[in-house]
Amino acid sequence: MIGVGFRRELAHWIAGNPPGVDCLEITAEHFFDGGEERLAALRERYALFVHGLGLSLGTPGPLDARRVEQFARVSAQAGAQWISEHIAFTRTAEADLGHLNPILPTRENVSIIAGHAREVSERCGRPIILENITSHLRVEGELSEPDFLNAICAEADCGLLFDVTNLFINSRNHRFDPLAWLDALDASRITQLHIVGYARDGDRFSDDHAHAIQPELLDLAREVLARASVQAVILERDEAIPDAAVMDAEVAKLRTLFERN
Amino acid sequence: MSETDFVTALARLLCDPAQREAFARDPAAVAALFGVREADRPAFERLAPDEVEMQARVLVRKRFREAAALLPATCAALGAAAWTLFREHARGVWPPSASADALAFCDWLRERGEQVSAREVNRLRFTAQGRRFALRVVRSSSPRALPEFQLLFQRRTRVAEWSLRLGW
Repeated sequence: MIGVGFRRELAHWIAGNPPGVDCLEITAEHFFDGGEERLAALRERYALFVHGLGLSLGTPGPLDARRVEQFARVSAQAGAQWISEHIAFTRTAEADLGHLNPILPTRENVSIIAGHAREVSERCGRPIILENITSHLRVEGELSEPDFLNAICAEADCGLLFDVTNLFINSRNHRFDPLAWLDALDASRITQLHIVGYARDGDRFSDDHAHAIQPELLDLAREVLARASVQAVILERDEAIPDAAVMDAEVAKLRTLFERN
Repeated sequence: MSETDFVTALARLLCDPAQREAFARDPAAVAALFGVREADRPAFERLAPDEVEMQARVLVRKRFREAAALLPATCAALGAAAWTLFREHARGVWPPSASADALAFCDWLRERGEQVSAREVNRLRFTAQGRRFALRVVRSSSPRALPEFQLLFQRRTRVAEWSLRLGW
């Protein structure tokens, strides 16, 4: 399946039944304060997945029960085929950082994240998949990043939401070979892909979710598709939303890639 | 003192520019000050200060985007200076929500004598107070302009708003 992350700014384009879009990814937090009617309408036309930004699975201690409840409610309203969150922390007992931050890759943190992922999955009654993040900050623990992801997915018995753009950006900023990184990953866990163009400022790369997919990202996505049995590819365009023709072209790129691989 | 885990220690560093400056000078001293637990201490002390700074900047940029979305008129009036001013405001304060951050930014701007949109401040205060209904007077900075009434009403998921301008 090919789809896009649902954003309010894309609603008009989606209402026009864009060609090649099979599914939508809903951001859970965007529906915490309502929007049931919209979810019901989208659910009639598309397969939906629910993606979280702020459950902070990597924070030690109990999850925020209220957020988990809200997440479960949105998942149920969307009839989500699966749910997803990041391998990251956004919050501590002292501060809400509002954005994804990296987790130290240790065996202890494997257990914390896997335990939290299982808890969210059980509460929502749906399978969960976990996403790799991009970060300017390198954190070095007992495990390499691929081994950390493999161990989390094995312990939680869950899939991986593999963000192609995040791997590409990390490999450029932290100067490693993304294909060697991919070879170390248990590709059988990859269930879904995220992709969107990257931003570049000199030799720094970042994920502003505001650019068309560059050819080198498609090359990397092709490598992932050659290794994994991917069920869905989601275009994550959040900023500088282009006109319908450009969105159609972005979806067509992904469909061609997916069908050829 | 109880020991501090890596996540809590990193978050403190990311929220506090003074601690980041101290960390760049002496990571071990900051680890000791935070009480970072022994198992996490080597990884904490190995963090690259320039990367910590860059990650902190990403977080502040995200805060700015969220505050700017709540303050479109205020930020439009500030123009390119809005981001620079927000960074200065953000130094050392970490409000618990985007709306609290936007309100704190408005208060800070006012203290500096900058113009802020009274309508936007009213809307943020109304949301923070959790009221169903409010009527506010919006006074223009121009002494010749007549006051305007702003009617705010909390619907299920959003604030509805009407304006009434006096004139003769």
